[in-house]
Amino acid sequence: MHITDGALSQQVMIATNVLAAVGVGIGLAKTDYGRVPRVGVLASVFFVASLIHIPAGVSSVHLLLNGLLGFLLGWSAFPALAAALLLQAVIMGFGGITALGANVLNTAIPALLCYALFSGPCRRAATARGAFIYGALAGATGVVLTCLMLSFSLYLSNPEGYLPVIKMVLVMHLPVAGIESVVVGATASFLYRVRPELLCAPVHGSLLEDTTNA
Amino acid sequence: MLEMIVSLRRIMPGVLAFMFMLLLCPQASAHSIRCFASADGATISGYAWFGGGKRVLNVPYRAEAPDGTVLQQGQTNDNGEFSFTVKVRCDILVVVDAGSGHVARFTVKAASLPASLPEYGKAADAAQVSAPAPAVAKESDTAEAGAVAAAPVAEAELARLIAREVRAQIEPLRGDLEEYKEAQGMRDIIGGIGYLVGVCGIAFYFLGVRRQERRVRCGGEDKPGQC
Repeated sequence: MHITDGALSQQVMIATNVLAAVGVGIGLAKTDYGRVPRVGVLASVFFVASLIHIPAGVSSVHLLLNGLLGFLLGWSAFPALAAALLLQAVIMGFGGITALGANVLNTAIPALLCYALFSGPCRRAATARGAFIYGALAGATGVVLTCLMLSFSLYLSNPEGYLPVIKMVLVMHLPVAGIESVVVGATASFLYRVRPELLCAPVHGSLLEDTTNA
Repeated sequence: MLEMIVSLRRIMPGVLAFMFMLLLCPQASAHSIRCFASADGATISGYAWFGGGKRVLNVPYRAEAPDGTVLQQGQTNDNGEFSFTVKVRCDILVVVDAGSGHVARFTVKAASLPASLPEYGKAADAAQVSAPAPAVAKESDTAEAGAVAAAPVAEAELARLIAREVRAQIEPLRGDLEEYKEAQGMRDIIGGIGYLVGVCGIAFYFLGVRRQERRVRCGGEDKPGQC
C-alpha cells in the first residue's frame, strides 16, 4: 500500500524524505561487500511481491514482505526498500515520487523492528518449527506495523479526511498479514534447515561500523 | 508440512515454477484506479475502474477548471459512473479520489465541449457553478432537447445524434486505451529487476574498493571491525 503524490502535507513530505535519506545512509554504511547479493535478491523479491494480488473487498491488496527483508537484512533493508520502492514508483507508478520518503519509512521502520525483535530468537531457535514461528511473527508484524505507520502519516497530513479510509486500510490488510505470516514463516524455516548462515548476523559495536559478513 | 521442505534440490523446481507463475500474473495492475470521461454536448460523463477491471463504486469525484477551481463535486454511482453538465468551455480536469492515496485524473479538452458555451473566466462567478445531472445519460439528453429552442432544430438535433452515436462507439475504445496504457507487463518487471542488478553491481564496485583499501591498510586482512 503506497502513498501517492499529493496525499501528504508539505511538512510531512519533507520530514519523511529527510529521515528516509538518513536511514538509507546508515543502511549503506552498514552493508558489507559479501552481503550485496543478498540485498539485491531480496530487493527484487520485494519489488515483484507487489504484483501478487489478494482480493479484499472491492479492490485488492498486495503482499508486502518487508518483514522478510528486515528479518534477513537488518539495517541493509533500508537501502533495499528504498531502491525497490523508487523503481516501483518510477516504472510501475505505484506510489508517488515525492512520497517516496514516507513509503520508505513506512516499510523500513517495521522491517528494522522485525529484525530487532525476531531475528535473534530465530537464529537461536532449537527447531525448524521455532524458526517458522518467529518468521511468521516477523511477517505479520511487518504488515501490521506498516499499516499503522501508513495510517499515521496520512493522519498527520489530514486528520479528519482520512479517518474512515484509515479504518478501511487496516481491515483490508488483515488477510495480507495472515498470508504473509505463512510465507515468511515457511521461508524462515526453510533457511533454518538449508542455509542457517543467511539468517542475519548480529550487529557489532557502534552505529557506523560495518556489520560482520554472516 | 514442514517435513516436506527437506532439500534444496527438491524445492528448487517448485520455487522456479512459482516465480514463473508470478511473472505471468495478469492482475498486476489491480491496485491502481483509472478514470475516463468524455463530453456529449455540455454533459461530461465517464467512469472509474480499478486496474483489474472492477468499477470504483460510490467514491467522491470533482471537476476542476485549469486554475484549480472546483466546478462540480459528486459521487460515482453504483456502476462507477458519473455525469454532470458544465456551463463554461475550458479544459475540465476530472479527479476521482478513492482515498488512501488512490487518485485518478482525466482531462476533457475544451475542444470537445460545444463552442456555444462561454469561455472560462469571462462569465460571471455565479454562472460557473454547474448543476449535477443524473447518471443515466438518456434522461439528461431529453432534458437538453427541450431546452434547445432557438437553434434550427433538425440540423442541431442531427448533429447531436451523430455525435452521440460516434461517442458511444469510441468511448469503449478510449477506455480500453487508457487501461492498456496503464497495464504492467513483463518488460516492467524485468526492467526493474535488471535495474536492481545494476545497482548491486555498482555497490560491488565501491565496496570492493573499500575492501581493497582495508586490505592494504591492515596488511592483508579483510575483517571489518578490526584495524
